[in-house]
Amino acid sequence: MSIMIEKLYLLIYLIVFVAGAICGLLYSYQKHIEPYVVKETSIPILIFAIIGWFLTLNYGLLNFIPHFIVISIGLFLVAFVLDMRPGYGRKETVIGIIISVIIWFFTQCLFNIM
Amino acid sequence: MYNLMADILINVCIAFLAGSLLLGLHRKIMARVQSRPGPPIIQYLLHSLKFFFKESSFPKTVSKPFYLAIVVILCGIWVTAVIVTNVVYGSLLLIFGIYAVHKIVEHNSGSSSGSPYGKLSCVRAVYSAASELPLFGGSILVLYLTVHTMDIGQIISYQAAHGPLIFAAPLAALMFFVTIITKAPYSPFGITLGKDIISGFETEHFGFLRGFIMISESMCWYVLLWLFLTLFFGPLSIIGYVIGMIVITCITGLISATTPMLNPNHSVMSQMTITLIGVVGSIALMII
Repeated sequence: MSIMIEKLYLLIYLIVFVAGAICGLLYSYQKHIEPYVVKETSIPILIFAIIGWFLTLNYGLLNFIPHFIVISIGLFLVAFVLDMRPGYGRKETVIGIIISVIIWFFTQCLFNIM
Repeated sequence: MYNLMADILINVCIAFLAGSLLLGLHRKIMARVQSRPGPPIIQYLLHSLKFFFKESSFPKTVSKPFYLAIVVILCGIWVTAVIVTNVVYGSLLLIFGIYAVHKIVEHNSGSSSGSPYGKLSCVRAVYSAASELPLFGGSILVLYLTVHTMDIGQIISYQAAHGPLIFAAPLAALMFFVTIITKAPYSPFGITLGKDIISGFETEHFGFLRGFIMISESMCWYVLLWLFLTLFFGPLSIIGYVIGMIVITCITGLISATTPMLNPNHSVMSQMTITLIGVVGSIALMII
């Protein structure tokens, strides 16, 4: 039964990821109609990426909200940035991952050792 | 309360969505390796769904009962594969049977279309079956000789007690991995879908029929990756499966992007050679 619930959560994560990816794709094609890629970091998208990766990797820090809700919100934002128009959202995703991994490292590994 | 139908439905949806995303990732990896931006990762999924809203036309040359039924069978066998693997943890022999039916579907899908490209793919499906099935079967045989069971559930329990089978049966893992490469898009062994014959057995399938084929392919990809990870890397958590599937998809994407499609004769002989080395080598290792 617990495996089935885990699978149900996985299905929810997949649906949320797809929804985020579609939203990201629609948003970026509406915002960037030019035929070339503008190589500049978008601040709102960077914030989306940081929050998304933070929530996905560090869901354990937010104990007052059920984990699957935190991960779902995180994955929606991750997919939103990750699946934007090809050429957009790369830098933001990398920065988001780096910051989230650093936070995860400090909260999970370093504090546990201490 | 456990509900079997709900379990099946959840697993089939996961297989379709995860398989589609992984095949989208495969295309993206291929594109990046070839210095192209590539489509978004959800492109494969959107593509699959798009075909259900496209006009479906039937060429005059088709044999309609086969032409329609074969797509339903293709979808049906991979739904069955999801049930056998993810729901009941059943026998590997059933999966082998499903794989054999998949080759028959490739054959009949090509021949029923009446297209010369489909017919060429149909012929290729016959003799690629002679190398792909021994490859897949050889992997299962070596696993059976190692674990003495074909039941997926029991193989998982065996690995929980004795460690991952990748160390005990590395050549079986190699054969299974080559089977996965064979089913990857733009694979060096993918002679039935070679671009020299347009889209092979899929050439004359339009609209919702192509949609069903794409759904089946995504479930096929998911099932093969799930099986590989389950049979050779022991009991894994969901995160383990996700990471494993992404890694294997990246590796196959790299292989597909950098390797040209083999001539059918070379493809068949390469697979047969790998099978021979895998089976004979594994038996020799067991005797030694």
